[in-house]
Amino acid sequence: MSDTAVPGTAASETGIRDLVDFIARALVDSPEQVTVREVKGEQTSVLELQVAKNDVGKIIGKQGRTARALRTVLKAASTKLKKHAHLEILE
Amino acid sequence: MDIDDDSVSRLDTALNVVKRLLDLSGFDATLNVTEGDERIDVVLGVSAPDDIAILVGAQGQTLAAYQLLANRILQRIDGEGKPVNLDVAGAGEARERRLQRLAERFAGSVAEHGLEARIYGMNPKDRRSMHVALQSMNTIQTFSEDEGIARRLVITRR
Repeated sequence: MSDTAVPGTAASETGIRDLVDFIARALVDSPEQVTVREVKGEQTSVLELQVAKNDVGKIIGKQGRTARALRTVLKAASTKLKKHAHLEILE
Repeated sequence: MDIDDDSVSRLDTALNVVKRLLDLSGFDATLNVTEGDERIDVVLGVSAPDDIAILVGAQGQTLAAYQLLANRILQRIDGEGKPVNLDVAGAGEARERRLQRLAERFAGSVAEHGLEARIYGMNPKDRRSMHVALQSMNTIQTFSEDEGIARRLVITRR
């Protein structure tokens, strides 16, 4: 369900989701438990990232550095792809 | 290329990770890489000036974020080793031009109205760019005052 692309949507819309998905899977111990759900709004999409319980710390990082970097990169990609996206890390 | 393959060098793995991050972000970048003793330097080439600004970000924080994530990922694939250092080609020059335009605007205002301009919060390199940019103007003069974090550039009418 998290992977269903809405027909007719531009490739760029899934690009941001794929970016978060790639980064999250590359950082965790259990990549198979990573899901990124894109909840589309009129202006802004919300990306809900869920990882295994043990992996939450790896996504957040020391003092939240990794999560902050992830949001910064997401913002750059959103600007480039002319989209607004917001990242929620579900715990 | 499979990034988990043992036969793949750290350099290739690093390049793959960086390239993937940029591709997924929508940036069409060329990668120019040199491997030093301590780190792997990757200079990113993007053609659009807007893309340079987006990729670097305010105070370079976007580029730093890409670098941090690339290193975290690299570390998990390939273990401890040389970190990747990211740079954007032309970013320094673009910043310098922006500072020069800003300096000229301040100087023009000082020359016209006779007020003093004090510009805070710049690093030594940025301050120097402004001094150099305004050196040839004979209606104003520039100097720096105070020390440390309070050090600022002053523009006054001559």
